[in-house]
Amino acid sequence: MTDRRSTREPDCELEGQLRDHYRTMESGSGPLLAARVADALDRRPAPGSRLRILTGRRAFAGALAAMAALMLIALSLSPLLLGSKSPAGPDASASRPPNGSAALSGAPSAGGSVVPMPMPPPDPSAVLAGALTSGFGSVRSGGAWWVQGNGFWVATDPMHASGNSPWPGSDTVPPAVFVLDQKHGWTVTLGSGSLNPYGGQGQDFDHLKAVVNRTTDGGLTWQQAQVPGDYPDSLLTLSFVDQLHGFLMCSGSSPEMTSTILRTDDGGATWTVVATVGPVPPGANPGGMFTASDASTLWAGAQVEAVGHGHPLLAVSRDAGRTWSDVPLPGNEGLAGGFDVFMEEAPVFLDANTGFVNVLNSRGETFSDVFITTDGGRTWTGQHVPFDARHVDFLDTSHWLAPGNSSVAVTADGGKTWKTVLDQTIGIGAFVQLEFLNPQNGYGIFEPNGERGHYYLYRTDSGGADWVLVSSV
Amino acid sequence: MLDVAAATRTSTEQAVRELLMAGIPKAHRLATWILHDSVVAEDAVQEAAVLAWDRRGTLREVDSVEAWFNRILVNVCRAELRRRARRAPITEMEPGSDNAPESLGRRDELSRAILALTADEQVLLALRFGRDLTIPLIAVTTGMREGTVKSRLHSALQHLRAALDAGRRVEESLR
Repeated sequence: MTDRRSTREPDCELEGQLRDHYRTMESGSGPLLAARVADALDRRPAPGSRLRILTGRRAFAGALAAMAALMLIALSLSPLLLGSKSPAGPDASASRPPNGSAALSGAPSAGGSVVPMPMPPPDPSAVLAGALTSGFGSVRSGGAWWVQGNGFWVATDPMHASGNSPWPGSDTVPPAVFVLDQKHGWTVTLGSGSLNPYGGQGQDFDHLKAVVNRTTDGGLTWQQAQVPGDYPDSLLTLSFVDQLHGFLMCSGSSPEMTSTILRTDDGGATWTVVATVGPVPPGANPGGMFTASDASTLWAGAQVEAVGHGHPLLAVSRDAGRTWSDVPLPGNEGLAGGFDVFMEEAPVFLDANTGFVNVLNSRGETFSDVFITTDGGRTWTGQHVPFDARHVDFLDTSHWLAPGNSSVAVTADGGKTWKTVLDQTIGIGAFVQLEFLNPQNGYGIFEPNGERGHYYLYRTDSGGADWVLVSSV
Repeated sequence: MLDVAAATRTSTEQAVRELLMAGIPKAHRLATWILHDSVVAEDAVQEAAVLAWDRRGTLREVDSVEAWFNRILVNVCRAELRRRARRAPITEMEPGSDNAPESLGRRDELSRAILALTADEQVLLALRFGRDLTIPLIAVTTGMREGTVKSRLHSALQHLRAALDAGRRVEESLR
């Protein structure tokens, strides 16, 4: 009884503090906001209108789709852009493991489509995926994807080709995407029988049946394959190591749930369950932080939500997902999580041996610890990075770039020293994603301050010192 | 000839619009509780209203506009919280440099601790202790199951307490 009372009393006290906290928060929206909203509603097209006025995320998606087409052309014409990090052609890509994965988590699909589809979509809605080098992340929640791989953009949602409703619950569950090279890409979309409660607005799927869509011609045509099983409340993540071999991780959305790993050895035409295991890392689950570094080695990081339970940050399977073990990271051995130490992105592998794990630590000022392996993850060395470095683009063990406010943070010595590269002409805002092909040539997506939801795609040939606007949305 | 179907549709749309507009102040309060920023909350409300308006054809009952709009708003706020987390600024380039931007330093202890939680946890706390919703209503609003709401609220409180403790430790170490 004493124990129970001693834990309940602080709970009540904290709950009281929370109620006071919210009560004292001011919210004076007034008529101005109402007028803004009324004006915004007035500008919306009538239902069923043939002429679609693209605004917000749809305009963003549509314009990025246009950029996608332009970049496809640019990539095909420019050998420079297909440099050392982007082996051209199927043979080269087949010999090179990919750089990670993209996850089905947290943002809706978006509108617009440029790449020809097998059938004209009735209501174009696109998954936008860009893949120039490595690193993935949604450009914005509700926006586009910029996915790992070697060099193409895809602007398509194969679900529309089937004529089915594309994404019940699309506010919360977008398709997973993985792009290997200019030709080969995969997406995961909802299969028949999936059920999202609350009129499609729910977070958790009562039934989630996955379909893997694959293209071998840069998104011109797609083929679908049903994934066996039902994965309610799961996060789905794709990772391919070459054109034939890939994995699908269906991980439970809460720490106590199991995860199922499926694999394909025929490019995604058929999928078989490898194993259903307890949460990996033990007690956590990887969410979107899952990647394969070769045909039998898989990595799973603990998603933010899980780390507070005091679990290891990283786990590895060397038998294609059947068994998993913790990965000690130097300085973080035995780290009992602490929810302020976490991973936000999947491990990145440049090849089967060379990989990076970026661990964020928000105890006090947030900083990063980047752990590097050059022997396939058998040993790791840590490099402290004295700032909050997210979405780091790892070009090799020495050259990394981190997006910043109107600037790019660059290191050429594996994170030991950093310099800020600033282009004064670019204005005030933040790079939300970088994709560099080498230390000099790359792309950045920039979101200016005061232009929430508007993005500018820039290109640099000077390591970020000068940026040239490619397109804006 | 009178198009009854069209007239009914127009009338229903007008009702939806009026209900949406009437709910703006309440929605702004909820968004402010979740986002801890009145200005960003305005953007979120506008975005949610536009989304809701575009999807008005999927609304089954006009009577449920508020709950339906709240679900959309909460999803917009969750997305904003996640986006905010992804856009954490570079605070310093080298140890000892003094170019750290203003971040959370001026916010009070509890705000700082709440903002350190995950997006879902922040949403749940705002719905439970700001809006004073019951667990079933939170489940309806977020689209989570009731059991999930309970366990995540429990976790959120645990994490919040840990964050407060960690913050106090840091402050003490700096003294």
